[in-house]
Amino acid sequence: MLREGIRRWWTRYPWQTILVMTLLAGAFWLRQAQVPWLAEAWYWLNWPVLGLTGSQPPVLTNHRLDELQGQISSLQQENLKLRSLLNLPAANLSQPVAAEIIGRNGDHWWQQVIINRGSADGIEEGSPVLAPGGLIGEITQVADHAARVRLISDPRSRIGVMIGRTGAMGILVGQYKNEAALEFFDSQTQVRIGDLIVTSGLSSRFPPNLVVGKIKSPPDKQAQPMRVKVSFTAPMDGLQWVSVYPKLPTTPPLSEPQADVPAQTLP
Amino acid sequence: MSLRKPFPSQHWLGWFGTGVSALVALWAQWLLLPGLALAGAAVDWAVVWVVCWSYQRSWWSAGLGGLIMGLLWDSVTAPLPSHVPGLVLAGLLTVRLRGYRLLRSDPLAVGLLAFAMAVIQETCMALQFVALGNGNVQEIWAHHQKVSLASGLLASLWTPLAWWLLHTWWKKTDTLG
Repeated sequence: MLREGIRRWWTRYPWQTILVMTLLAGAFWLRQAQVPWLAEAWYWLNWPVLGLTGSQPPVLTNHRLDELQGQISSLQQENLKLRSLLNLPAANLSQPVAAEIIGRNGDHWWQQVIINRGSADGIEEGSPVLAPGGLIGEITQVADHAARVRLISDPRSRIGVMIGRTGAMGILVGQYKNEAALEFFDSQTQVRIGDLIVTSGLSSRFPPNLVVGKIKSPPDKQAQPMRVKVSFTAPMDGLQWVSVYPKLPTTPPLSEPQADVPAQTLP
Repeated sequence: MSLRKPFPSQHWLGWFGTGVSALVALWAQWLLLPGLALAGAAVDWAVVWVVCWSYQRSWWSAGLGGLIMGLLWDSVTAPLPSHVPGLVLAGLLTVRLRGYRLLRSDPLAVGLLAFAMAVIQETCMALQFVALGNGNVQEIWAHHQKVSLASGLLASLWTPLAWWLLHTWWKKTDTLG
């Protein structure tokens, strides 16, 4: 009975059946594979516009910024020297790659953007992405000339962070909007509105001390774990140019003293 | 004896155009243009497309259209939670509800259907988020209310135009039904 039905179906709609089966299989494969060339296709669709406008990243500067940059670079040098004296791994970022945002996902549940740089520019999966203001996301998928970025406002984004002032640690979870929820490990943490939130560097995903946001509201002490609202320092709505920091070759962790290596003699 | 007929070339053109329109609907969500967004929410072009597709087709076509569109939408966003249940439901409910003829005019009827289907699609996503334990239930619910209303309104405004374009195309190429 069933075989007869299928046979009749097949004789009536041979092409339609083949077409639908192919479409179904193709769509299912695309979904499972999450192929990066969808981003690459978007790049080539936008290529004429990008080529014609030829826009450049904005140069943001003023006297105060120059002064602060001077201070930072001298502090960085000092930090590097002190770290090398203590035999600690250097914690600096690589040279940034400027990238323009060419697409923003309008889906209401995911917060993703596509940028016009890919593996041809040295970008890898997991590279942190920054905008003027601070951290905005991480690379989740890389094609040759384009990459997909998961923003820190995406609900799947979980970042290990700490309060810059006290060092209290927690996890920052995205909430679709310009703010995120910060859950503290310790429920007795003291927080103040306006405290700066930076990446903690406990996990290897992000380098430590990247600015993420500021505490926006008093903590909800009833909730377990303790939660506060954090507003991002980077303008998540008005993103156009971003900087991607390709990962540096990982520095080995502090080496254990080995028995068979003769101890170095200090001068 | 054989019932097989050569497939007319205008049918091929019709299906090709349909495929292109589906891809355009998928990619359109990456474009945020002024006028296409309301209160931070954008148009659910995939829902608009599925409603237009299902409005004058069989149960099978509507379900399969929703399924394929859902799988493709997942592939340009993220696999879980999936867009498939919401879009399949949208296709099937469009077939179920179109018979009521609440409104005599087709463009208005598709607009009204698109509003309901956009709300259903967002509800399916919100329920999956709650089921997967991904985030706080109250926050998901608050986000859902805002997003489903805004995207429903936008979908009901844009669907009559999309439906008119697609309907004309399907009639011209004889690929309706």
